[in-house]
Amino acid sequence: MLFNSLKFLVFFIAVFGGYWSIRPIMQKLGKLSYVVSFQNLLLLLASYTFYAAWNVKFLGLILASSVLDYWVGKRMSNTRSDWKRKALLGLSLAFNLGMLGLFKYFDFFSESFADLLHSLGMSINPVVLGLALPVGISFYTFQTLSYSIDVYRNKIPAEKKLLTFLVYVAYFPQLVAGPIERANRFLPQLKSARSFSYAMAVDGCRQILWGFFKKVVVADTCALFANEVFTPGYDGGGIQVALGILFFTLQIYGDFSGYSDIAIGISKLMGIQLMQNFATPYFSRNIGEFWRRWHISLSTWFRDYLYIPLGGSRTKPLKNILIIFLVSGFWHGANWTFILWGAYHALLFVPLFLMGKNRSHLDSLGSSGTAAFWIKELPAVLTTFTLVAIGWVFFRAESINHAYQVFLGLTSTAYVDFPMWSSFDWAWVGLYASIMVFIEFWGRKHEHPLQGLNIPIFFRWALYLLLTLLVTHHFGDEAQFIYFQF
Amino acid sequence: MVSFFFRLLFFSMLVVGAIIVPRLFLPTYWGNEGHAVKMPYVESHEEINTLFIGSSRTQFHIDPLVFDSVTGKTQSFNLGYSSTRGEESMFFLEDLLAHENFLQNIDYIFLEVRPLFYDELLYKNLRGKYQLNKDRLIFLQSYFRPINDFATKDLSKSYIESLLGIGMVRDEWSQLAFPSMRLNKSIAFFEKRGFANRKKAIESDQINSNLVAAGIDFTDKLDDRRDFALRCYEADKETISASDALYVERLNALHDDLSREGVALYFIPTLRFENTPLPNLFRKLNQGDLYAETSNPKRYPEFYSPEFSGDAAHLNLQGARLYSTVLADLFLSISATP
Repeated sequence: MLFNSLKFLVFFIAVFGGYWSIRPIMQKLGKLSYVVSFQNLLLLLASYTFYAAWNVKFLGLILASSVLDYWVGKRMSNTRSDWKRKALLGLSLAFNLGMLGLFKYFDFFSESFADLLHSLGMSINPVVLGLALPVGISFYTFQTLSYSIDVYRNKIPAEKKLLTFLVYVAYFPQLVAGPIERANRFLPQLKSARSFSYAMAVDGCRQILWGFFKKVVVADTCALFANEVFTPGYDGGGIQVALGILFFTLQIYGDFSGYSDIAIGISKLMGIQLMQNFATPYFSRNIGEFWRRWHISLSTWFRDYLYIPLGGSRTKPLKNILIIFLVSGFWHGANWTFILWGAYHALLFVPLFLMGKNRSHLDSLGSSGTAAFWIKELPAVLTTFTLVAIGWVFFRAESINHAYQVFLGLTSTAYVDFPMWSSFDWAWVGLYASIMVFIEFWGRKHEHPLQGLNIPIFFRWALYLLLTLLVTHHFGDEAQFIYFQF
Repeated sequence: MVSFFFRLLFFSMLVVGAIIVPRLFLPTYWGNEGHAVKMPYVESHEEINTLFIGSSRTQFHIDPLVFDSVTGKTQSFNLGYSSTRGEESMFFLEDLLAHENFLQNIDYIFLEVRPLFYDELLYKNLRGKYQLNKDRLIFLQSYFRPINDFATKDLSKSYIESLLGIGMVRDEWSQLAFPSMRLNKSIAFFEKRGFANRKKAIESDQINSNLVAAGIDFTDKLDDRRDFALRCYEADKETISASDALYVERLNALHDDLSREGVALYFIPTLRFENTPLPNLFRKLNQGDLYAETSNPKRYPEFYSPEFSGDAAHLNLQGARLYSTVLADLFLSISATP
């Protein structure tokens, strides 16, 4: 069930109605203490229904992972024995990473091993399982892992109620593509009764609208051209290839950050605050800043659970940086292209680290004054944007050879023709991208740009109406979100 | 929560209003850019009393000047446009019938009839959606249900989407605000009262015709189509499918409705239509059997010869002249009959 489908709209209206009816019903029955349990029960049923709409068979995996980590957490809190706690954590890690490895990486390692032997002159038939990848597995396994690790580190107490923990793992808005929530933020919200907040709900609606605009209008429109250029064997001119890369750069941002905004907005309507996942990353002034602003929930996850335990910036930092970027790339998918993408970003990041500039630009763009913006910051933003866009070629390509072909295509002087779209279509896509960039820049200091629109209500509502009509126009396509494949 | 819902309701009303407003002002035919370009011309020329409605087979095959010179009593205009489907032409004519005063100067209408076919993409785009209403949805679902398992669901979805403005609202507003922006006003459409010469149309409209552009010999394909047409013509002359029976019923009802408005409706077949047999369908239409003869390769072998062809599907200028003359002769023979 996709957010951008009429089916989800009907599903959500039903869940929303049911969810907020619980409190008045319980109030009438004089059972206010049951509100939390019923709210969580409804969220759980909705979440499992939502996931079952993808594939009911994989529901068992989420349930198994949730029950195991719930049990591990409880057992860890009941024992002081260090080795027992380590063993329990090891069990959680082995199960979750094993599941991820089996479904996501087994075939890749098997085939890569066979290729390696082949290059050494030995030939074997690789064992290929060909398993379908459960939607969202990379996200919810990381979420449960962070819980087990935090309980092990005594950062959070183990959750006592199974129902609360099941909702924490399976909560439907962020189940299949994040943000990857932390137990210390999310579980406390599930433990108290949610009450409707007008301000939060209105803000949620705005964020949903902005998310839909980025996904349905910008990303899906850009995808039409990007997909054409990234089709293996594409033989267009260099300008077309460059435009294809630009369009994919806009597509992936609109697609993924759009999903996050919709998930966060829906949660606000349910009275739950999820963490910010994107903070206008394309306005970054260097790669370090880009990674503080892109897919924040994953970057901080790797920082807290991998980079720092490895020694962080104190022990062998360059090795740690390389590991974190490679693992981060590999997390996205079992393909050498993702590993190369991670390595490319590591290469961009290391010089900054060595110069001590990886923590620069902690303020937002334009904070240093107008002159500095035009002379220093804008060129830096454009340079970072170009470097990031180049990196997306590895990310989007189907193989390393394909990525090479795309780069080679940039040098092509073939006749430039754009038969796919009329000038009318180009005007629309230009307008969409401009609206996105302009509004994101305008509201860059806020959680989402529509939050910070300090303009008269008439113009604000006119903008909402315009965005809604554009979303409505493009709504029917039901294009898959890119990050669902991870 | 109440104030939230009121605010949401108010905004929803604004959105619904913004979806409805352009539909109140746009002409019914706006979604077909060919009709949208040609109709204002017809509306501003009161002398026009005869219309040809259909696809590229009408646009490229019927020369109004030739037709009028033969009949001597018509001032005709070619409203044909590329890729116009059978049901689209029928719905367009139904809309014209509902269009107040539009038909007061019109005496004769020639409607190209072609078998309907289903493609899941057809009703996902603007061109498919803009004409949908409940009555047409039921007709289309009834027609396609026996043929395509997915049609009922797909069409329902398209209908809901058309109500909500999905895939439409942006274009409706831009059409309303900038009426000429997305319309193809090339000379091919206006030359000789809407008639387009195939070669010229390819040059000026960039209409995709790989066969002609690449100079590929289409003679074999032409032979196939002639053989197919002949087999259809000589096959069982009575039976039509349940779906086609619905189509015939609707077309005949349209014929009767137009008669009451003083407009004579003639059905003309699509030449060289390679998918479904036409003659049986035509024989069930009012006066259709007469025009069905034009698709008989034995009677009109010229329509299947390379000499009169622009490509496998269309006649060339010479073929169009011949076809226009044949239609005019048939028209005279019918209209002379009391």
